[in-house]
Amino acid sequence: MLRTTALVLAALATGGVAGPSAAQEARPYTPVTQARLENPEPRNWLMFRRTYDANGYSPLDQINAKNVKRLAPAWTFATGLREGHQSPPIVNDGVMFFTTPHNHVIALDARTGEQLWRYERALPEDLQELHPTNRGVALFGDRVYMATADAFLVALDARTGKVVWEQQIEDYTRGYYCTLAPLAVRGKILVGVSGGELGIRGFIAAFDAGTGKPAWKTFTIPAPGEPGSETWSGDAWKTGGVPVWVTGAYDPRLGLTYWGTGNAGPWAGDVRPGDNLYANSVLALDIETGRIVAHHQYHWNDSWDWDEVSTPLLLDFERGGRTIHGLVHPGRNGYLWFLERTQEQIGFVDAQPFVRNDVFTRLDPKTGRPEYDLDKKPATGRAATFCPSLSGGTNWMPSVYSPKTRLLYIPANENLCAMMNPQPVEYQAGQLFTGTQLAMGETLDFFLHAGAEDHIGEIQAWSIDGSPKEVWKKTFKSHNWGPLLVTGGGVLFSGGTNDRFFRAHDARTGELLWQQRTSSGVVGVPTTYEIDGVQYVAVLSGWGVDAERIQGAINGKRPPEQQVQVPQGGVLWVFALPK
Amino acid sequence: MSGAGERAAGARGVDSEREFAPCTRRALLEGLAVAGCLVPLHAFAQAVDPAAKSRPQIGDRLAFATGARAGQPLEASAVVLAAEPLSAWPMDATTGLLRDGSRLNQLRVLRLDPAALSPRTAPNAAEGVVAYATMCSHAGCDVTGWSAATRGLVCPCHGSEFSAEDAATVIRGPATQPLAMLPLRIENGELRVARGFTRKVGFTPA
Repeated sequence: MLRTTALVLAALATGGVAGPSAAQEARPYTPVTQARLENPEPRNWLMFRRTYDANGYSPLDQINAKNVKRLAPAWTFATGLREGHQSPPIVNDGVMFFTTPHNHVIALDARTGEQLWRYERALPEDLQELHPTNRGVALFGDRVYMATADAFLVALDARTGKVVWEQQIEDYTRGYYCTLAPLAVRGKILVGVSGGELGIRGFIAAFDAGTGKPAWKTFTIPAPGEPGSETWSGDAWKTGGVPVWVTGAYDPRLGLTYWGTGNAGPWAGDVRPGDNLYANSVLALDIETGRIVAHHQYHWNDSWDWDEVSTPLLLDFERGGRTIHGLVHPGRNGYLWFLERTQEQIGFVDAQPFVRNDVFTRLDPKTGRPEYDLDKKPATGRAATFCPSLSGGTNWMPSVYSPKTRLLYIPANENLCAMMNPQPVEYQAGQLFTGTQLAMGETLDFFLHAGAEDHIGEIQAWSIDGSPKEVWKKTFKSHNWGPLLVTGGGVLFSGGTNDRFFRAHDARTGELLWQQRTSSGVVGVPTTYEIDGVQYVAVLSGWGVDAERIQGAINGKRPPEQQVQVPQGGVLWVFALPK
Repeated sequence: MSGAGERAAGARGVDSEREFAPCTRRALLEGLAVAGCLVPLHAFAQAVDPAAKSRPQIGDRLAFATGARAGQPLEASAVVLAAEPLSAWPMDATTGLLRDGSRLNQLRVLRLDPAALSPRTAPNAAEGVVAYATMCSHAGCDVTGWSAATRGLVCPCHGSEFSAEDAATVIRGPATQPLAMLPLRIENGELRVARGFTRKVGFTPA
């Protein structure tokens, strides 16, 4: 054991680099309390979706639909890294934190852009990074939390970037990794695991914010004998996937936290007969114990790689004169789901397609359970085509809701479909366990549906009350991989297209008000904050990961003159109105 | 997918029930409760001989990594022209120890037409047999795919393709760097490692 300890110490000693500047030493830092997380000051953006209800809305209104045309860069910051920069710049009283691919955390003066410190995780040399990205930090107390590509949770001192503790979440050599921003709730730090393509058994886990000690761990696949285990066959549950790619939401009133789950693996549903709970679902967990209080499965026995992982939006909507405490989820399966949340359950209200879905033939009006056109359901040795593609009608990119417009905004992709031809696959620890290659070819391919010559990417705005309807839609020739931000100033911000633009739209009408061509493609979550009376909008430009993968697939279907290469390299852009 | 149905020698079994192993850096650095600090326990549950983790050594033999003969020596005659690449591990020629303690040692071995090899490939090949590191130079996945038409080693994760005939240079990205090549020679019909890897195996997270 002595030798073991020495090895561990040696590994930890090289495990990160923190470089606080002299300016940082005396800088005040406002501790993040539970009260602040539940009711954040308008000037701040303290968590992945800003608020626990995951609406992605900021009340700031200095930048508005009238003056946004004057918006201009205030400063920029190059990360020096390639791949997908998806993190929101999170801001607490003048200090900004964001993450990069390969798990760097960068702390900046949010007004001037001065670097305060930078933490660089030393990742193991035998790590594979199927998704080289990270989606940001959580803040609690005077600490900054990141979940890493080698499946650790790291707690950093917010003032210095020094490691306070680190805790292994799972074993990366068995395919576990993390891409999400942790969620801080009532002294716990919650995370979920990626690895759905690598034969993991997914889970959500909570750790003590102070010590890193595990609090609870809830698998997304029940073990034999547990409720829901009857929806699995044989040993498929052990390696059945159901990852948790993206941060959940939280309802302080109910004490419940809501998380979307990914699809089961291998990808062809015939090798794991049954509904496969809790794949492609939203789970309500008791924040204190992790117990699964309720669930709703959007679709059963997935065979299309339609993870339903984007953060569910908690908001109230009206049906027949009744206000419903709701959960709204624009699905990767192309349906917009309206659900009702109570202390005991998640109930189906209604749903409708927001892009072409040629798989679902009908939804049960009471439960929402879809029926399938089986010719559209790939099985082992039986290819099938389907729309939307495996990248979905939407994907991980957060949708947003504005209480001012009472509109829901969805980054969507239309006219993009797929072919899957699954093959038999045997489990091998840490290796692909999908039954198809992930690269385009004979086992998996995208194709363009009629209409793609006009557009693939969309931003849709939907009413939520009564009979929800699409109110406006913007279209883009490019696919859209852009997270959204909507503000009290009535402005909807978004990048996501391969032309590298970051845009401002009128939240009421969709009218394009302003755009800035950036350094790379924008796949980061935009945020906004205020310091000394000045409102800023911040976003990472840094194309990569699935946006690039899909661009490659689309390029393969288009003549050379229409193929697009997007330059890589992460740069943080911060905008404000000129004085 | 080539190799998808095969099991690697030394692969860990399924252990989904394993619970957390609490450990903090502070506890380690302060020397607190070290005996109870369980973080890397799984990594040491099966003691790995350091020699099994070290990179291939000059004179090493090769051994099958997968299939019915996993762990057994791979003779030059078993590497057939125009067949799909085989998975292999380096093996200490004296002790017979497989160097399967690190993903960085896993190899793709195949036989090509010697006349088709580029000038920078031929010196590292043995009668047309070439060996490349399996780990992708882009993001570290195992490059297990094969394109017979282009003699391309294909990464199933992100689609990078590397020319087997030209020192694993990039045919198609996102990779920008070649795979590492392991120079071979043949001695009494046995494949032997002639020199160390031509470049660092794997990728630099940047």
